Amino acid sequence: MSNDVWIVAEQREGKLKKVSLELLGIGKRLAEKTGGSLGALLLGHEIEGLAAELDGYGASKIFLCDSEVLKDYSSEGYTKAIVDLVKAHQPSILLGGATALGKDLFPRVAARLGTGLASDCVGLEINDQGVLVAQRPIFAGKAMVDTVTPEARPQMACVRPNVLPVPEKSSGSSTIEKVTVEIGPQDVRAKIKEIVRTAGEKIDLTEASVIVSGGRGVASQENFKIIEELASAFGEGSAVGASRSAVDAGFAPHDQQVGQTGKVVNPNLYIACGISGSIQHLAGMRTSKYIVAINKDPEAPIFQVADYGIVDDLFKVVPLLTEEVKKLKAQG
Amino acid sequence: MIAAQKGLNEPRYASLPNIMKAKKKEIKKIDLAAAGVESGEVGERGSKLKTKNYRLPPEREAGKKLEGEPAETAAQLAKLLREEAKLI
Repeated sequence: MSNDVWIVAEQREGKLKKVSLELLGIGKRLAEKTGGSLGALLLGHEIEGLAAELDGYGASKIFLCDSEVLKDYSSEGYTKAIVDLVKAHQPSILLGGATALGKDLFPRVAARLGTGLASDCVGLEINDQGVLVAQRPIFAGKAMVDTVTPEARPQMACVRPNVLPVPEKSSGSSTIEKVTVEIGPQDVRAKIKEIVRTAGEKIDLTEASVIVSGGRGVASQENFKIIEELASAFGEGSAVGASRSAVDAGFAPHDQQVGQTGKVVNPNLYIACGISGSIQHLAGMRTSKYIVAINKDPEAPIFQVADYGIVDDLFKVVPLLTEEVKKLKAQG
Repeated sequence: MIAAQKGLNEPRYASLPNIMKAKKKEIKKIDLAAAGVESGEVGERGSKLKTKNYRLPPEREAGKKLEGEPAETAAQLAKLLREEAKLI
């Protein structure tokens, strides 16, 4: 067993996910403490360009695993590849992103390797014994806990996207090492037949940097239009969310639900419009960097977590805010 | 195996006669040994992870309440988002 730290870089359809760089940043800090080196594992098909994008963020080696079987993500194929490579190289720590893909993949990898997995971490450090300590929110974000993997190796953790900073790019210093695994189409039993995109290239809520959410106060599906307009004023990386009561009332589709039974998000900016802020909703967005609340009720609990609060009618404020944001955007 | 998302379909609820019938069904208990699992492999003893140091998360600092007419608050907010939060 080495002291090495590995991160699994995430890509979809030839595009690197930002969380990969965040992982390199924290991975580098951990590797300095363990005295090992930092490796990045990149899986896919015809993705050599992405290996170059990872270069210069502190990894001494980028392991590039190219196979036609790994072109599209599959739990089975990716698990096999990662497990085989971890067994061959024996890193002491293996990190991934707590993304939709990561939540599917890493529990499976951990079980195969007979080790533990700290999921959805918001901070990682190495203690005096050289063991990885992962900080995780529990009980819907009401409490925090530290978890360690005392014996089993590698120590695995999934890190929430958007929590850790993207490190500065230094001069290129990573060597790209091509690695192969014995993998064939027979290793993937659930085949992907077709990928159908939803209209308008919507980005996933968990990956949005700005989310504008509407609650019961929005009052109808048609009214959600003003929420959508504010979101699109922020441009690329913005998305529309909704509270559970808005989804249950049919104002917004279920995949937009933020909260304990919906999606847990942490964008740079979360604007809650007509959302009172139940515990279950807060559980899904309280780690957002900036929270704005627009609500008629001055007693609404959402104001307790908001950085900026406006007690007013959202139908008056939101369209005006959309105009202001557009104006500032236009100024550049 | 298929894992479904909420909203996939209408839930099917049991009818009253079926609930009554279900009460009479035998509930079979299987112990770990019969399931082929050793007690050290499951539960807290089987967990590879150990948790400690339970604590409350850091409190969020009190935010700013913006006051005035909608046109003023909207302009103030946009300005704060640009200058303080640097998000625009």
